[in-house]
Amino acid sequence: MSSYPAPIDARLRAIGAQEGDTVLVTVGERVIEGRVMPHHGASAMRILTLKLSSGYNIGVQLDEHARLLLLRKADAPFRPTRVLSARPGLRLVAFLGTGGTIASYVDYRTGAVHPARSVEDLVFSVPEIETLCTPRARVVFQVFSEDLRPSHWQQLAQEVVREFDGGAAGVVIPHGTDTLGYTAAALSFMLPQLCGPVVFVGAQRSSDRPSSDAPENLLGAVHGALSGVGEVLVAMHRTSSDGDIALHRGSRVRKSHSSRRDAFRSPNEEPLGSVNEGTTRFNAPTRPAVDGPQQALTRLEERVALVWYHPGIRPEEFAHALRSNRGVVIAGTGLGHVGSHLLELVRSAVAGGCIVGMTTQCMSGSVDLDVYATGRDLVAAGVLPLGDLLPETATIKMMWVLGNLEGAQAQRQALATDLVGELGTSRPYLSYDRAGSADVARPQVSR
Amino acid sequence: MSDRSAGSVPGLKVGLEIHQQLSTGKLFCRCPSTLSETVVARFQRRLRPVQSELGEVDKASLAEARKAHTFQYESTPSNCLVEADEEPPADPEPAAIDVALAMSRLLQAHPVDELTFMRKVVIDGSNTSGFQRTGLVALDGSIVTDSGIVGIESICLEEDSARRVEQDQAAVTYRLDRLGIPLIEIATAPQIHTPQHAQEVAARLGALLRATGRVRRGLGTIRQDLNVSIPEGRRVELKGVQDLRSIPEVIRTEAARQRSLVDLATELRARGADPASITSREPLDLTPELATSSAKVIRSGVASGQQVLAVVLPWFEGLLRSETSRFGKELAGQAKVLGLRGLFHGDELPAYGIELAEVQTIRNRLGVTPGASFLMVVARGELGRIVLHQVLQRCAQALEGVPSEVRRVEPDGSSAFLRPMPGAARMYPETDVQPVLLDSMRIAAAPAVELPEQRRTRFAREYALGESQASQIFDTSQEQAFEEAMAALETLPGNHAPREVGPVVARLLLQELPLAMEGKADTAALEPAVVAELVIAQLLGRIPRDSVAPILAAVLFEGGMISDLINQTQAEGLSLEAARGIVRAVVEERREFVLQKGDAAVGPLMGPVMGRLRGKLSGGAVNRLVEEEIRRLLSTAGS
Repeated sequence: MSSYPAPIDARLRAIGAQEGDTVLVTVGERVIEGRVMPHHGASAMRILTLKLSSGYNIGVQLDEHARLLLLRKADAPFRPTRVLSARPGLRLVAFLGTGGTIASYVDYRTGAVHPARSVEDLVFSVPEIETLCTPRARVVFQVFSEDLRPSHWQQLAQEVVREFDGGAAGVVIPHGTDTLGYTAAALSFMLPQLCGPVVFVGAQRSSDRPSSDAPENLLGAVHGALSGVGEVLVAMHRTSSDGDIALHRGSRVRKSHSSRRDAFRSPNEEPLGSVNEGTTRFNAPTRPAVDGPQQALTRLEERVALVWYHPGIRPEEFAHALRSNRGVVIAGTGLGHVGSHLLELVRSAVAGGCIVGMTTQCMSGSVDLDVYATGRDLVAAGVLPLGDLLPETATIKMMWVLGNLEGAQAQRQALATDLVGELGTSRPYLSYDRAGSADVARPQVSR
Repeated sequence: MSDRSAGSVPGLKVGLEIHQQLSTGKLFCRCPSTLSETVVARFQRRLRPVQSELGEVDKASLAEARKAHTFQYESTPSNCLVEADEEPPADPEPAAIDVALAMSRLLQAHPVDELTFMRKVVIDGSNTSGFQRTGLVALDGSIVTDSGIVGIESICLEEDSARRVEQDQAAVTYRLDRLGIPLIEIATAPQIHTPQHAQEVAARLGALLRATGRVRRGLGTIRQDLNVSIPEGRRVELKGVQDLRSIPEVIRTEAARQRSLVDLATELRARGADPASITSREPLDLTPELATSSAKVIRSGVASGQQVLAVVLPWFEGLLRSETSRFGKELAGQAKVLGLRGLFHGDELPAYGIELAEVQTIRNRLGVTPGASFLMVVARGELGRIVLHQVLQRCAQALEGVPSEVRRVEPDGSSAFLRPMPGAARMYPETDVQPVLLDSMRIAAAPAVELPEQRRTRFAREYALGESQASQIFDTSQEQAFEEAMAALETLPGNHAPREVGPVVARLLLQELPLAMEGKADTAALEPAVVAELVIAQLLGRIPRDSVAPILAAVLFEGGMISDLINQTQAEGLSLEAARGIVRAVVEERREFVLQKGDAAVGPLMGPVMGRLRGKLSGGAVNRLVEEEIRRLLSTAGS
């Protein structure tokens, strides 16, 4: 069975050809020899993709009058197997595979991009890793990060506990970048008393490319995992340049660009730390590692919603979110506002037991509900200001707090308190400037 | 060297690869295909060789990987995130596909049914991604020239690389402006058998490309690679021939180089050379012995912490440098690609300040026996050992004759080693770009192209060019520049009949421009509007013809503004009225002659008048003044 639509697949099967085999296509006087490549999703229906001996792929229209002949079956692919071994004197770092760009690879014979067969493949692709630690790798799940659900966070937190209990000095979690920030935030709350670093790492360019950011990010993650802190971290490029890896706090970070290497930013602070040419530094006090058996507090309240306010939002839509959830995080405008016509809805929802928290939909900054009348009215209606918590982190915190703490009073207090470093007390002057222009050279006219 | 003088090389096989930049937008983003001197951002990257599915790293990639890994990049206004490898590529530029299809039609090549872009792994840093995007558009065409038919193997569309603007020991700096400019690559079959025919085919392909009207002009916008082999040699790719006229010489030089490598192999086999015992030699550290060498290059190298390493090279005595062999230079080329400035070998020493006594010391320490030679490098850290091992490999390879490799053409027509011939494993699909269906409707949508000979006939007809003037415009590849200037003239005020201004434009491009260039670089910088303004200024008599070349030079090399230069020249020259005074005086002096000859006096009077006005007013303007003054005299005398 090939990846081709029925008509082409039938032709291939009729001659016993599979992807990778060499075939001959004859159309009139023209003869084309090539290896059958997988079907490209955007290819036309009757197009067969062949790899010529020059290395180029071309699409060949396989009409009724085109003749197809099997020339050679493909050799069985050679798959080198290697096993990770203990490195005397080097600490144990556990790698937990979850899928995503960082774990994908290209099958050069067919050109298809697959998830890595194993985390070992990933570790072997960066030989320097084995000079830094004794790696231990396994796959927890293989999921595109947009398909991850809270249940995956819970599973992952348990696996981290297992690794620490099994003697790991640190845990590295290669992860798809799209929801990496969410998972990192979730684990930050689920693992409040860590005995070593948990470092999430991703890649914006797939590992098959010579320019992939995966190797440097992975190395940065390993350094982070050996740093001895009790933090959940995210290791990604700090700028577009190589050689400069930021270690963000897992509960403060956001994917801020859809494609750049330096997509991950901590909007309201300098990144917590960095790895430069093998040297790890922290810019602010870190949470200390705590010895003893690890525990994961993985319960989550799933009836929590994130509502992005916009001027055209329909009151009934807003009301529905408030009615059908135990907790609601609003991403409000500016310092934390919604239109005053929604005030009454908020008041009655809070009165009915719903916890409503306010964050800002601005890219950076904190809410402050004391400045404008609307803000003061929202507080009076029972809205909790959530400081500079990112809306998505606030949502996860709400899920965790409602899942793990009993009683509205305790829950409200926990939401307003810094639990694991997720809440900033002040925002340094440079945190915003830097975030906007952390890159490279000032404009200048060259020589 | 009778072959060389005869211009023929028996059994020679040459294939051409032409790379022509297109003037459409970039291939995979919507940035302009223009170079820029403005740098808006800098960043640095590293590239890593990636393993293939079979666990093999490509040979060419490996050779690059041994070199420096860190690359500096400069982003310009002609760039966006795509060239920084920070955003997926956009859809391929349709106009560029049009040009490739038009060329397929001109060369009777068969377009593929669906165009698939590939990633060709290149890790010398010239592509931020570590690969070049390239797609095969058409196959199996042919080109006809006076010397015969040559097959066209393929027509590809690919993105140009970043341009190297700086290189030092630590890093290479690339500017991204050129990255992503579409290139058409046309590869001929190895069916060219004389150096001259290669030039002919290259010239014809260039003319056809220009005929599409969508190619960039100027230095570096077209590059020719040559694949050359002789009967006992192997295919060698010579990269970067910029001048068509040098093609025959480059081919002859390469054929002679291959011949000498074949002879070298024969000689080594006759000497009983054994490759394994060449490659197994271990370099010795001679730093202590040579620390106080009389050669400055060694002394200062050692003083700055470098090591002197030398190794025995058995069987090679007298083969590194002789009348027919420059194998030593070949080895130096290997050292250079690894970052050294060169190496010393036994056949050339004593020299470079190294004295006989030192050579004796080296020979004794190494135990060089008769028939053997030695190699020596000065380098930092492990580099010397790596280079010597690489060079010994190359020496062992000499037993097999000509290695298949990629070489860079030097300005003198010789070439230097660049990298081993890459394998086909370097390519895999560009999964971010969707395939493009080239059905009959898409192919028909590509605009028709006027063939060069049709265009030449049209030039003669529409612009009143003489046969030789029209031919010269095409021979000097200026047909596009000519038509662009004609188009620019139409935008200027005044009624400029094409047949009147055409010859003036042609003369400017064929005569005044070469004068202004004095054999120097690049004509692409000459804007069509500049040509148009100069032509009009001439026709109006504002500037004399002899000042055209100096003005052109000032525009091209000093960045002068054309309107300022014309005004200035006019101010320094004569006003029309002052000139009329001079003409009138001359006419009056020859009053009798003029009355006698009438209008026919114009010709004879031009000489003396030009004697006084040369360089101050154009000939045409002087001619008009003489005619007017003669008529004035005739009419007043008659009344």
